[in-house]
Amino acid sequence: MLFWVPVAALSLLLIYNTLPYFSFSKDFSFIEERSFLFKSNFYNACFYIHIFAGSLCILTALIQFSRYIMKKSRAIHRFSGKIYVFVVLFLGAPTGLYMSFFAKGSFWERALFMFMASFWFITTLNGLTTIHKRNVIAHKVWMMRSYAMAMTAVTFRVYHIVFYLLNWGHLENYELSLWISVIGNMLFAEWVIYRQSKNYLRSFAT
Amino acid sequence: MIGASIYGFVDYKKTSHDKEFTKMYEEPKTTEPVTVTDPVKNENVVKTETPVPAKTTAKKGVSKKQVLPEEETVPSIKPIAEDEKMIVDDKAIEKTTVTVTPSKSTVEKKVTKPRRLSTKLFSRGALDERYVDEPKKKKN
Repeated sequence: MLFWVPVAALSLLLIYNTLPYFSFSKDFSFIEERSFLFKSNFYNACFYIHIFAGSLCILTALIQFSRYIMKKSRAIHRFSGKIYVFVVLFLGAPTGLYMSFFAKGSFWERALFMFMASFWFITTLNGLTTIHKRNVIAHKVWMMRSYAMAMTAVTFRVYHIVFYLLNWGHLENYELSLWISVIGNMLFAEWVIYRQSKNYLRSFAT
Repeated sequence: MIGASIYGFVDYKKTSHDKEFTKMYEEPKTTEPVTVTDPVKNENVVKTETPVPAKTTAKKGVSKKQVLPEEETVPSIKPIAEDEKMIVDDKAIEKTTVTVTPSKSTVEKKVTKPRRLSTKLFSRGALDERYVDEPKKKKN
C-alpha cells in the first residue's frame, strides 16, 4: 500500500504537467527544442496522440492493480483494462515507435526508445491474449511488465530531476536517466514477479 | 507497429540529412566569465639600479657654453690637452624604492545558482536554466 502512494502521486503529477500541452501552444521546452520536428503535421499528431495515450494509460493503470477494486467490481477492472490495452496497442506504442526515430541522444538512445515501444506493445498484447485464454497468472505477469514500461515516463522524470539537482549536464543527465529508468523498471518488475511467483509456489507446498 | 516503424524509418532517412535536424539537439555554447584564481599581489617591488659609470666624453668641437665675444674675434682652435677635457658629471642614481600597486583586478566570483525544485521540472523537456527560469510568455 505504501508503495502506491508515491507511485500514484507522481503519476498524477505527470498527468497534471501534461495537461497544458493540450493548449497546443508551442511555448514548452520540449517543443521548442524540437521545433524542426514540430513543423511536420504527422509528427505533431503523433506527439499529441502519444501524450494523450500516455496520460490515459497511466491513469487507468493506477486502478488496475487494486485488489479492492477487483473484489468489489470486476467490471471496473475490465473496463479500464480495455481502455489501457486499446490506448497502448493502437495509440501509445505505435506513435512512440514513430517518434523514437527522432528521439534525443545517440543511436543507442533511439534504439532504446524503439525497444521500449516494441516491448510495451508486446507485453500488453501478451497480457491481453493470456486473459482471453483465462490464464490469470500469466496475464498478471505480462501486465506488470507492460506497466513497468509505461512507468518509465515517471521514473525517468524522477532521475532527471535528481541528476539536475546534482548539477549534471543536460545531455548526460538525459541519457543516464533514460537508461536507468528503463533497465531499473524492468529489473524491478522482474523482482516483483519473482517474489510473487515464489509466494505462489510456496502456497502449493503448504 | 510495422507501419509506424516503416513510416518512421522512411521519414528519418528523409530528414537525417537535414542540417536543422542534426543540429537540433546540440546544446548552445554558453560563454562563462573567465575566473582568475591568482591572488592579488601587493608587494613592494624594490627596483635597484646599478649606478652607471661616469661617462667621459671627449670634447671634440666647440662647447656650447662658449659664448662668442662681442668683438667677434674668433680665436684659433687649438687642440685640447687630455687634462683639459671636459668631464661630464653624471649624478649617481640613488637607490629608489618603487611601489607598484596593481590596479583593481577583474576577478569575478563564479556564482553558481542553487537549483530550485519545482513541480514544473517533472517534465521530459530540457531542465536548463534558460527554460526553468525564463518566465513563459503570457498569451493575450
